[in-house]
Amino acid sequence: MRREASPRVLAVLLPDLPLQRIARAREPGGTPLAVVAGGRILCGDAAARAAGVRAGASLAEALAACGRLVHVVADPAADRAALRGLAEAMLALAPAVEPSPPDVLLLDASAAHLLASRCAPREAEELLARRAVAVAAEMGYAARAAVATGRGPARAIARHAAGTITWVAPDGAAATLAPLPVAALGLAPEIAARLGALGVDSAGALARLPEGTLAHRFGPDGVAAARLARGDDASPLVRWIPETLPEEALDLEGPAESADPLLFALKRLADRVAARLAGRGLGASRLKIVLKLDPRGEERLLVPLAAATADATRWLLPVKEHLFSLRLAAPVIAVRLAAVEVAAVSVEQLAIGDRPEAIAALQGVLARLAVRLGEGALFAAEPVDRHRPEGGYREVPFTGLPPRARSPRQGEEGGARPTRLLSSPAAVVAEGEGGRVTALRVDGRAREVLAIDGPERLRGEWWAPQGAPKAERGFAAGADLAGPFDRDYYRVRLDGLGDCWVYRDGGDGRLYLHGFFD
Amino acid sequence: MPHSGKHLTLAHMREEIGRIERRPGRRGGTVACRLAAIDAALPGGGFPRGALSELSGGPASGKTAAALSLLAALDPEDLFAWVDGRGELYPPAAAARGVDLTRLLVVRPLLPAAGRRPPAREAPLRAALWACEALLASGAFAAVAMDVPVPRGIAGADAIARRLQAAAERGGTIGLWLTAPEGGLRFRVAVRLELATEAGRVVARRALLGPAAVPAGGGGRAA
Repeated sequence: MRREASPRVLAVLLPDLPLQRIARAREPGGTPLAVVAGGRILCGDAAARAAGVRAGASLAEALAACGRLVHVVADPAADRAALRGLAEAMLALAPAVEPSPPDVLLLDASAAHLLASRCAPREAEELLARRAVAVAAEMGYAARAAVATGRGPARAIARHAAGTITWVAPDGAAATLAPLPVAALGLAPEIAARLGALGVDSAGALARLPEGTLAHRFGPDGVAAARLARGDDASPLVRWIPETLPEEALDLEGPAESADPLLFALKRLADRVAARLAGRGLGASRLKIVLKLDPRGEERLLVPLAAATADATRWLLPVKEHLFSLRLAAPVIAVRLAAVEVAAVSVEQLAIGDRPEAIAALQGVLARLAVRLGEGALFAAEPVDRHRPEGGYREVPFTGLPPRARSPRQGEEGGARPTRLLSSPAAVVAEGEGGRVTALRVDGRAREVLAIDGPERLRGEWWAPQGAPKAERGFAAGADLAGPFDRDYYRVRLDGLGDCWVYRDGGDGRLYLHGFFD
Repeated sequence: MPHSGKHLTLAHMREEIGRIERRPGRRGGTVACRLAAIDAALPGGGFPRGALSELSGGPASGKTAAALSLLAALDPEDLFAWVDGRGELYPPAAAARGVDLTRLLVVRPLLPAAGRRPPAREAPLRAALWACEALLASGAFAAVAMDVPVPRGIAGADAIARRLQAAAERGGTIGLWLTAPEGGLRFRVAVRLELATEAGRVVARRALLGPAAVPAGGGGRAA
């Protein structure tokens, strides 16, 4: 049976991830910081190390060395979530990304040539590695990367590499791994210790042992480690697909009482959320900002965006408008930003074209209007195929996007419908002689009827219970939009008013003025 | 300087926001609405960009149809807005007149949603006028129709007029101010048309431009 070829893999290692995760979620303050697990120091930042805090020391020893040390208990679940967050952003670079806890991301490097089609394979793979490290930096992480053949070799080389970027030729994994300790191959410590006792203390020495002997003395783990040491790992990447929308948080260095520091913090968070969305080919159409107040309480803001985008600079204006209109009850100590509504970033252009100034101007004015008037005050109308005139359209968010298909009513019906529809039809009284209507009394004043055209019978919706749903807003706010209706509409030209839309209600037999052909 | 990095970033962000807030390029000239009776009455045969024009008429005089015709005649990439202070614009009729509803932003500041708080701390009329100014000045909309029932004798009428004029000029926008002949605020505009229907046909007459901010008398139903 033919074995699968080992894939080219880019491994991105995040050294001291627990520490990095905590540090990126707070503004830099210069206070020594360490992560503690089981009462012992797991890792510490440069300030802590300079103060004498060592990994593996007890917390008491660390505090004795550095009284100012801030220590945070390790949270492996949060570390895994952070790894997935970065994986999301890396999706922009590779066809498949696999989080490999506790601190590595594996990227499929087989498509690296697409990044630089005119470059040699090595240059293209190194470019991919540099971009991955840059994305990690944008997301607030320091990383180092290695490109090699096979998941295991790439991961081991990244973990033990000296430089930020390491490139290993397709047949060079065994030679690169050879000087590394056997522990680098992911062996259990007791097996590594037994191998060490036998004088097998490097991956190269392990690679030279016959598989039969290893299987007998060290079981399947020993065989797997030896294969890894020979650079033999054909296992495919397990492609990861994100299931939740991105959210990022930041603890402020001190309580913020004005909008400027909040905007500063939100800019950082926006860059991170946008990078994660961009990796998935998504753009945010609505953001949620949560401001944690001191000492308690929260302020929540929903920020609608004119069009779905993963360009964080386009989020800034709407965010700024909402932020500056806010009256805070207390200082803010932490900020959280989440994308709560997203859409695939389509190839469709805004109707105004791709002029960035025009798009920015639109974003800006929509944000200002939404903040000041309320989001419900702005809409685009979408025709609805209903006979009931006041239900003839619905309000949808205005995006400026061109329609996917021609609106069914567009350009049809000529002037058959009035340009103005009254929110509440006004009762009018007919006056006449000999069964002929000669005038209508509107607002208490008799208007001579100059011409009448009609009737147009509109009736239906007998299946819906009367008064069930009411219009939520707009011209028919509070009006019944369901239930049977039976109306005979007339276009009536009234002296001094012009053409009016009047109907006789089949229910009560009365006449109502419903609109104007203005 | 422990915070110099942050200050630099703030300065950079202000600059970036300033860049984003710069308005798109302005256009000049006039745009015909393709209604012969209206265009014939307009100097230059169309509504001027970067200025306010007033369409004055009764409730069924044809002023709304004229404004909709102008929106339908704009370039396919243009956006337009309608500040619907009365809440009477009927969008299906606009679509029937060739207006692309996806490019039409309707703003209804006077009608808070049922069960929703009224517009944030704003007197509805002031909010509507503020929306008019913001839309005119943004440069994002080629035309803004304003149907706002400003009552006679409103305080600061001159200032309102100046602000709207300046906003239209700044944004290069065609501003259409819809009024009723017997009521509502009038002020100096670039063009004022008085519309009426005679035997079912719209008749337009260019009116003399009056003094700045003339609050007209009258009551009844304004449209």
